[in-house]
Amino acid sequence: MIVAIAVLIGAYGLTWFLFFRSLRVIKLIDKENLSHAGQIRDRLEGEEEV
Amino acid sequence: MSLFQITMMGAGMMIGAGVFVATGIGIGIAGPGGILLAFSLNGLLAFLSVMTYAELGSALPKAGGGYSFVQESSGGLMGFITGWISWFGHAVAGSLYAITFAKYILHFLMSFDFFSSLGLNLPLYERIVAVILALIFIYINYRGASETGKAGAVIAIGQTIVLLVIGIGGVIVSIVSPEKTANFTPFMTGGWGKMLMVMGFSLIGFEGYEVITNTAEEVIDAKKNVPRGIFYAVIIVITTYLLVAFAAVVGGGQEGVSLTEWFRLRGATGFAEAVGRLFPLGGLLVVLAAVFASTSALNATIFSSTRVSFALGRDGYLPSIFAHISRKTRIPDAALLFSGVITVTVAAVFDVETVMAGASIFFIFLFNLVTFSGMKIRIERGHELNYGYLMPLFPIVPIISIAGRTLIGIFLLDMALWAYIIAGAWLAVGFIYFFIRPKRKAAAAWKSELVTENSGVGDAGETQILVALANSETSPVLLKYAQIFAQSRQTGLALNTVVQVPYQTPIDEAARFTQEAEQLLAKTSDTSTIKVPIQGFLRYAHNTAQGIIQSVRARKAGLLILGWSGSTQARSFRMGSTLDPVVDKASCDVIVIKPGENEPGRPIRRILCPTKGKGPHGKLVWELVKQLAAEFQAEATIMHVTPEGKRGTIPERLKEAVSVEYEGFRYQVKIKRSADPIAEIQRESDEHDLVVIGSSESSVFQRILFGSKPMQIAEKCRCTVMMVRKNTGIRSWFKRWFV
Repeated sequence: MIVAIAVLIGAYGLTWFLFFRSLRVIKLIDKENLSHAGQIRDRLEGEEEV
Repeated sequence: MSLFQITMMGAGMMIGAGVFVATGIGIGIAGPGGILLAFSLNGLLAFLSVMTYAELGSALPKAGGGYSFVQESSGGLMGFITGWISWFGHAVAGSLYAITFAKYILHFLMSFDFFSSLGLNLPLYERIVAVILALIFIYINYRGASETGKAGAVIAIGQTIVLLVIGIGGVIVSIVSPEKTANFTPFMTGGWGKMLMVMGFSLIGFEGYEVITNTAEEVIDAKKNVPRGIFYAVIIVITTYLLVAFAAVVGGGQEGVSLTEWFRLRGATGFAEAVGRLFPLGGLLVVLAAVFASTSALNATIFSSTRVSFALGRDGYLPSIFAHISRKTRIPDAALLFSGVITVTVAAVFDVETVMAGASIFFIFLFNLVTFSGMKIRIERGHELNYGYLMPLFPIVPIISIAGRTLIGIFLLDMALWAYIIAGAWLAVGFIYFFIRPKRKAAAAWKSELVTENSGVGDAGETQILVALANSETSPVLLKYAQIFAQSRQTGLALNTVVQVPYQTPIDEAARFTQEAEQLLAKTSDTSTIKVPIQGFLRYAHNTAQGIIQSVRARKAGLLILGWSGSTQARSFRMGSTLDPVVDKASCDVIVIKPGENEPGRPIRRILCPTKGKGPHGKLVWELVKQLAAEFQAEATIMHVTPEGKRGTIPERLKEAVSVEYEGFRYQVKIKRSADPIAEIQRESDEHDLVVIGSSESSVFQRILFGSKPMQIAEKCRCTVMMVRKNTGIRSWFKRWFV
């Protein structure tokens, strides 16, 4: 039961994490007027390094 | 469409019937922990899939939906199979929603002694009701009618709120009566295998967000709002489902019977019964929510499956009859009928568990194909597309997404063998058909871009004034006055006509129905009296009002001019179903012109301007009156009517303001007192050639019930009336986004 509850909470929590992460990506693309995949990926990786 | 509207549309589509059917059945199979885990993991899996749709939807707004994405990436057999699966999957989902409606309605009726005493064969009557409902909605779609965007949003908000109330109610009950949490033990009665099975057949409850990508072309700021709308919709729905499942567990069960057994005996409607035990009228609330949710989802899936089969016909995969669009209703009638046959047949023949599992199986295939295409497009074309969203952790996210769905598909085999057999047969038929079909060329791609023509004097340049043309009676009158304002602002005119097609028809098919609109544009532009640059263009839209609003945004117009015939048939509208939303929501100043007698040739010698003072609209009104007075060498009459019994100093301040404002113009000021100001103004208008009046600031209810004062005046005046509404910033913004 403990494992099941942990999976339940973990899955839901991971969904929210992806949700907020995705909104951040959209905001960054919009703010910096990015467009192509490579450009966006480089910018996101640069942000992670910082 | 705004972000809020598409979010509610997506959420409304997802909360179709899945939760109402899956919750009860799911607890009966996998226990309380099983259903919560299934919803939580399905939510995560759905989110992984949504990330692909959000990425593709932001980069390819014109594509519109899963089949189109795969066509873009691969075409050929893969494109065809995706469309083939999507067609059948949506049609089967429609059957599920029809059956859900039938189950809940009959469950409700059976709570009355009269019906329960009849000894009805419930399974038989469920199928009869499901078939009748499906036929009704097929007919509604055939007539080209559909829910307006506003009605759809209201239903979506309503059903989401109802379910959230139920969910939160369940949490509160569990706190107030902690003994009810004993229902959670044992937690996973069927083990992980049964939980995965429940994940499989309840997957259908997590589809529906795709509809947001279908409407991307009509979304404001699609690049960022399409992905945002999808994410908001999905997170709202996942949270709602978890709360609702929790509430069902808390409410269900009885002494001496295990919770799982209790739900197993009740099947799909066990959910309604469980909620009914949580709080008074809870069961009725669920029935109402289920009825609204299932009918709205049925409507949406009928036209989704119609659109996909139409697209297959248009792209040359299916016989050309599928691409036929009715001239009268402008909907793909043959595609609708074929899709309807599938929905009705499945609803008539199969039980709800098989239908639910079958729909889930088809969507597992569909989502996997779309996810694969998303990967392919990113790898091959990522460097050239303009993304509003890019999923992180690529390609791990899509690979896990495909693997997860495939796994739960395998676990569904045990429960839904018949569904797999049917799915397999349908796929086999599809494969065989693809290779033996007579090859047919795809129809030439219709462009949904605006058609532009330039005429008049000079280059239109950056146009600030948009004139929405609707018919050849009002158009010359609109042009007569629009030119004056254009000259004064030193700009050109953009003449816009909207070509409308119903929601059932892809928007670019409006290109087939442009003849009348093109003739109107040509006739209006073709005159030797035009003194300013003119640019004519068409906009394709599902809704004329939305089309005009989009044109205003696209052109960044500062002023919009529309015509009004002066009468409205439906009491629920002030000026008409098209004008009302445009006047309320256009992001610019608006002038509505009601042509009077002898227009457009009537000479303008005297202009009447009823006024209460400057106000938000008054300043613009006076500016326009001066422009008109200068052009026509006319005399302006500034008139103020004080209602009987009211005191105030407006008249004195008014005279002072007018003398400053109208210096250099011929004018007179008339101050009157009357029991009926509207009649007084109307009498005065008989001695004038044109009335210019500012928009009403009276309360919403007053306007709805009695019509605004400017409108009442306009209805009664024989001369031309101009109603002016200034774009007032925040209030206008609120109305545009939420109302």
